[in-house]
Amino acid sequence: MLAAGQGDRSAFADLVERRHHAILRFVYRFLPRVDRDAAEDLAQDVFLSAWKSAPSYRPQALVMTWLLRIARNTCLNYQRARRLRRTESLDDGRPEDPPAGQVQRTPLEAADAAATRSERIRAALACLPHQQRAAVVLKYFHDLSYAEIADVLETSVSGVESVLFRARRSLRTLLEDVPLDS
Amino acid sequence: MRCRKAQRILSAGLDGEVSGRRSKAAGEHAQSCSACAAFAHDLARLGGALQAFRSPAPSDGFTRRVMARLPRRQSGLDILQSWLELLRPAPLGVGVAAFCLGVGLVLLTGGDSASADTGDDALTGWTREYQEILAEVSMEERMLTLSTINGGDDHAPLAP
Ligand SMILES: [Zn+2]
Repeated sequence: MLAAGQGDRSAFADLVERRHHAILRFVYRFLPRVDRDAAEDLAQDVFLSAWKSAPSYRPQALVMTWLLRIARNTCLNYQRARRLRRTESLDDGRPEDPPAGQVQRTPLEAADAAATRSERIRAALACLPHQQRAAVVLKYFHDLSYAEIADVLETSVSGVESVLFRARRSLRTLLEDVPLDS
Repeated sequence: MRCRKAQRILSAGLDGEVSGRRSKAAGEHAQSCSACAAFAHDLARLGGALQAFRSPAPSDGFTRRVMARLPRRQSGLDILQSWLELLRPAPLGVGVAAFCLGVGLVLLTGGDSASADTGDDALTGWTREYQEILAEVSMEERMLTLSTINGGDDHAPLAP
């Protein structure tokens, strides 16, 4: 990573090769409404941002948590831009997505018995506030410790404990009718 | 212990993030509280259920596409900054050297250059003024000026 910070492109290519799958997984799970292509575009944006920020990387941070923090910020910026576009198109009087709350609940409510469990879980995650959703994704799918999650979310360890607790309570309710056994 | 607090500790305990004493107290509470026992039971199963959430694999050539989009880190501004960084240890000496180079160039091209290469319109105000001043200075004076500047450069104090 330090070599990439000094402009070493091949060192950076190694980093992309080793980490891109994890970053794509994060983006796809953190943004419940993006499809695979959009998630992949965003994952590419994450690495472009990482390349630009590489000179300021400090070895005190784990490369993976550093990348995940960039990924989270990239996703949040994407959501903000999307929301802004939606507001603008509503101003234009053009039909667009319904308000976020409704959109988030619709897939869960509409999902019938035939829906795959994976889709149900994605829809349930979509109902969580972004900080809770990120904490769940980082805990369950990236197996990070609370200290590492705190680093990614730029919060405290007790903040992570609290966010994960609330997320789990919500998921328990949202997935009430989904068999929880794997 | 209140249920909410017990459940929060049970949640963190599931992740191995709770000290033994806190964990023991919450565990004891859950043994005598059916709501917290059910909560702990559901949390344990939630982890298994979440693993069913699949994400797609990246398409082939992901790294190649990222590398193709990577900008050159050395933009024009970066290059200027790196030059300034190089000049930083001796700004005065280098400044004088740059001035000498400028004077030398003007001397080499002489007064003819203004009429031969560039029309008066193309010259900026300060260039024209500078050339007019130079035209008034004799060759000997020019050489004297140069040697003074060069001598001064040798003794110029270096910035830290
Ligand atoms: Zn209780």
